[in-house]
Amino acid sequence: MIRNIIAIAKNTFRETMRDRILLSGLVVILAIILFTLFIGSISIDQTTRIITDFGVTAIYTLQIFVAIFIGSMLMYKEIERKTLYLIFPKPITKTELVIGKCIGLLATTCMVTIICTLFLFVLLAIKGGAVFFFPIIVSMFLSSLEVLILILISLFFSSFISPILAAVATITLYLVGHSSDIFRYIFKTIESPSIEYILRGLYYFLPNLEKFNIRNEIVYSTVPSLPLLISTTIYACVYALFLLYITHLVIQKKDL
Amino acid sequence: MNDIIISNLSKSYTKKKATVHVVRDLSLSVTKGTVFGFIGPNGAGKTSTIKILVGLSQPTSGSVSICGGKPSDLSVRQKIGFMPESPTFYQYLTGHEFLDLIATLFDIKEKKKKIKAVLHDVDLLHAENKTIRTYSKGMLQRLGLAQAIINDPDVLFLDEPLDGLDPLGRAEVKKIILDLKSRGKTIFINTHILGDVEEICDMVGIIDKGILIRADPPSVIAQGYVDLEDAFVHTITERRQQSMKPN
Repeated sequence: MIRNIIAIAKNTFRETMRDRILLSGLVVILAIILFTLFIGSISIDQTTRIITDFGVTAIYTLQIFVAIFIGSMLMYKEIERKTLYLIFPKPITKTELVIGKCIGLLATTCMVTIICTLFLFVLLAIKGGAVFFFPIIVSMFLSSLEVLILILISLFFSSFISPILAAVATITLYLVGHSSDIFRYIFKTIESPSIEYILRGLYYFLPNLEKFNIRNEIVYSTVPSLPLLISTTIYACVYALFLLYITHLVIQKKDL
Repeated sequence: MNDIIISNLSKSYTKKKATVHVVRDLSLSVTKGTVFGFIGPNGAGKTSTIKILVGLSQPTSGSVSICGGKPSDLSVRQKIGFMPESPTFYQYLTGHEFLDLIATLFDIKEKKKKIKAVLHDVDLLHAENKTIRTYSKGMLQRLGLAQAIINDPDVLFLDEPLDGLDPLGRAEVKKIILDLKSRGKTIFINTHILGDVEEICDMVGIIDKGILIRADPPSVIAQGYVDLEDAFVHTITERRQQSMKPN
């Protein structure tokens, strides 16, 4: 099982890393990070904070792009272009394939994240902003957990709907996942107990992606406590296992 | 001994409230070490049958036995090779990398040696490090064949293996098929190219509209006709005329 998963992951990593769309995205983000030097230079004594703020946001945008758009295309391309016809008659299960695809794409995201973060660190080091290194690493770790959930959501949708619809559905869940504050506000204002009950159910069922967002805090060089980081990691792992399970159920029933 | 046993196999799809029967009550068996040619016009149900045989699709009813097991069994998959019609690959991988993936799935020992040998057999050694997106149609067919035989399968399923190949390529693929046959492999081929069927198949099954019309050696089918193609055309035409007659 592990051998098959690693083989698929390695293959997915190679395939996606050579994808021209990803390489173009990587170049654009590196250019944006370089551009933060200029934006930082026109601020008053806030150069390193501006570079950190813009740089981290740019890297996060690339991570989300990879998770949603490349993730949505991944399974659909396999099914529609019938690449799976070459894989499934071999001694491999559909679940091993999904896990391998997920790990491969996560590895791709981590690789582009590492490249961009190292580039950002070089700029920060030049400008004397080494104090932001650790908060940025923590932020990248948390956003990678968010990416794991988004990859699994896009893999889940793309296993039974077209990539465009899968991307739209994933973006919708992404936006809902970042709206936990709105949910909490609605709970306080809503009068109907039954609607509140339904909304509370949705609140706990849908992914709470705001848990992974510390981008506002890191410009003040603050990071969450270790217990909070551990509980957030456990939340991401449990949610990822749940998504993996429902994707497994869908793909098992799929007739190629 | 039969390596492939198909019993009362049926497959139907429901599209816009209408049920389409692509395979109807198909029963046949293929003896170990023989080459079976499955021929029929477009949309006859050949690819649907082969997809069920390799476990890509589930039958609506009936059963399939490959080497004594179900196609979904991983132990059975270890023993089979499958080349789909016009295979599509991961475009950004090289031929060698793709075969490395397949060899890993089969847990083949001495992968590099085996990959080189298979690439040599299908005459792709010169292009092993080129990305697949740069391959011609013929090269893709050869790579499709290479991934199907890399595990030295007991039973080989080939869906239109000679499609898109030039005469030289076709001769090479036929040579590979005959070589596999001489080594006792069981081969199930879907094809349109009847001249090649006559040359390489021990048995031929003619299918039309999901129904197996007959399964006999090619020489028996061609008896009384100019050649196998003539026999095929007449068999299909007569069958269709019969089915159109009011009861």
